[in-house]
Amino acid sequence: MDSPGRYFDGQRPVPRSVTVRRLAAGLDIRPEDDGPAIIWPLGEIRLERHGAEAHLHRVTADRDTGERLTLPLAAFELMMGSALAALPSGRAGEASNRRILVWSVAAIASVVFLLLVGLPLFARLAVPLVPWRWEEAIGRSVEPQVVEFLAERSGRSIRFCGRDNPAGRAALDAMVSRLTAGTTLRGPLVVDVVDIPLVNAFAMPGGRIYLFRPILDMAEGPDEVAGVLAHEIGHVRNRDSLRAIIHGGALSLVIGLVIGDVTGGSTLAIMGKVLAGQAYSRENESEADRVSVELMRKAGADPRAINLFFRRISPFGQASRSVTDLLAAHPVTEDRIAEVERLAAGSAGQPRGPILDTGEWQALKSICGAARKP
Amino acid sequence: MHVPTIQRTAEPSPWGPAQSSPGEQSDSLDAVTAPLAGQVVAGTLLTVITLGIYRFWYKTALRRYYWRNTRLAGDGFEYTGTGRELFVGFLIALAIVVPIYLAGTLVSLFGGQVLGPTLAGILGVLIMPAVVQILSYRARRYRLTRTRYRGVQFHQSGSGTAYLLRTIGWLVLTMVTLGIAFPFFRRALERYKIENTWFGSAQGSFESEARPLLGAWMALWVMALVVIVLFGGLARTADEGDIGAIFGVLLALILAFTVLPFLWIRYRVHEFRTFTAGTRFGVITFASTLTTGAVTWIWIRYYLALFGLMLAFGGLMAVTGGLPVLAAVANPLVLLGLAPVLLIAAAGFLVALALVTELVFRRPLWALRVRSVTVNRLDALDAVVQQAGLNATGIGEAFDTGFDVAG
Repeated sequence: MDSPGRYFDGQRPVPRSVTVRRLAAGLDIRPEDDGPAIIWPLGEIRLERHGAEAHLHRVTADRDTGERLTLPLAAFELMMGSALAALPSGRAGEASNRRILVWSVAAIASVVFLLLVGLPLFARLAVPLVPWRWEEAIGRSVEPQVVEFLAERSGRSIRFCGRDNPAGRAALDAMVSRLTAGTTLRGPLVVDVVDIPLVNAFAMPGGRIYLFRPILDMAEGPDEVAGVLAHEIGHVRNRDSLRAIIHGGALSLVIGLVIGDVTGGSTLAIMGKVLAGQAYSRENESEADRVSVELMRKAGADPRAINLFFRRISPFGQASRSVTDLLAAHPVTEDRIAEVERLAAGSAGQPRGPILDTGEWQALKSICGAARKP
Repeated sequence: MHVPTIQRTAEPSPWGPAQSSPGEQSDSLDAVTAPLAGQVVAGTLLTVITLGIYRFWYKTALRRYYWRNTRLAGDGFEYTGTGRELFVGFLIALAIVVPIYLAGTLVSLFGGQVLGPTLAGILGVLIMPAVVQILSYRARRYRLTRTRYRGVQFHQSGSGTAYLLRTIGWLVLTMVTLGIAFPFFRRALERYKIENTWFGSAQGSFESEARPLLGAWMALWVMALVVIVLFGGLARTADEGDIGAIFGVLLALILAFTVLPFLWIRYRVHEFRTFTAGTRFGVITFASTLTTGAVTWIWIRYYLALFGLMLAFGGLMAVTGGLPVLAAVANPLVLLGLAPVLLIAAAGFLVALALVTELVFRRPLWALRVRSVTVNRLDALDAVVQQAGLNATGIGEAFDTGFDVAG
């Protein structure tokens, strides 16, 4: 069962006509020009099928020797018989398909673990290591991105109320200082009312809090606004937005690594979006609720007012919510409402009265100009 | 180290090909269009399923296909690289790129109002492209050392840093001349690459001029200037409703999407022919008959196919998309049940896109370019000798793919 073939010695790109013969332990390759015979052991033959041709190359000790042998595929298959299936496959240094599969599964598992467990844990552990001054710097860097994102969402430019309304500003400051009296925070709070048609409020890193105007329009008393504000102060105190930003940044990095593009997209922009579209976990929300009840009680206001507000704005069973609204960012559940009731019930003594007097409340309501019904 | 270049041998090689005459041979490269669709479907799906990890093996499979189906004098080229090498190279590239990325993030967060954006800009605009340029040169070395023809290996000398310095120098010159020197910039880089390319003991040399390209380049340059000037009228249209300016902007848009891309293709085809003709390995020379018309036609077909694909998927979504939305309004939990359907639709779209890109664009373009090339004095191949020690490559060799620094 001899077969003609073309042989390359791996030294020169010059074909030699050969006669190939099967030996028990390999192939005997005999040049027609009467050069010395070449023996390829079976274990060193690698086969690639190209149409009707068998392209063989030789791998010795996991290295490509450069030797090549081409012969008719039918002749080669006949010559090899049952030994064909036993030939090693692939290029030198190549892992088998089974090993690739095993490692792929392991890699996917570790990526999923990283996303579900590793990153949240990393974010939680990293937060206490960030000094407050750094958190403030992050807040300052991210704020323009958040404003831009909100402007895009609402379709118009963003206006900060109270900067030219001293009475409204004073009422807001009074509410903040009464809520935080006797509480130590890492740094000063900066609270602003933002004129934008979304029912939302959120805290950014470094103690910056945005209350959106519809909250003032829909609230029926100062304690409802104060409850929401106290809830956001809870997020500031627990540094939830810093954790969200660290989590989001690390997440974008990991996703970038997996799909092979860490250079795409500005990190700041990603972080801004994370913040503006953030949804805290249920534990974060319950924790902020606890702070809200605690601050409201200390200020002598009604800790249950926030529940009244939530019930009013929350269209249970109704559709149409925008991504950036309060309910999406702070999912309200019956559990949370019941928990607030329970905590508030345990309070010693009745509320002393609303946190703002009537005059102050009117000033706050008109901080963005004439009150507007939603 | 003295490395012999190809010399014309007077005597025919003792083991030479069957021809008895040692006369001068030439042959054109051939492109065999073997079946490819199955590999594209499997490779894309596996890449999606493995969250992208399979892409190194997929890319290797594609290279093997293109290499082995490029034939010269009856023998195909061989790609001997492996997916594992690309994967390891990717991990090493990460070790370089991730710290730069993190530094950019930290600097933009804590650098302050002025310093932050400046430092982040320097990292993003200067350091990152410089690293990518170095990596792209090393990626070429990787591909060459994993390329064999008739068992003999290609390789690349030179260094990524030297390549980067040349890039920077010529880039500055190109900017100073407002882009007019671009063909000289391209020639300088091509020259460095070709002169550092080896096939066994045969070193490439490059004797191409940039001047023949100036005509095609200036046509593009002038047209780009015209488009920019016409767009300049945009401000006037907004202010005064100037009909002439509106017409000018419309014209600029049409030019920017038709004539400008065509002139760019034309320049690149000229460049391909000129650079191919200027490349030598000893006495072995090359020639290409690539035409602008044929390449343009491939681009047009590719865009039509992409357009058709978008239309088909858009239609499909419009027809079937209405039902899930209605169902989801009634009961939001339906959305959860729909997730697998949406995933399958997305995977289907990716597969269709990959098929179009590979079968309508990349393979036809490859076949066109390969078939346009003639290799002269193939008989001189018998003086080429494999160089020893090329396989002893370090682990940091395969900076290839991963970041797609080089097509």
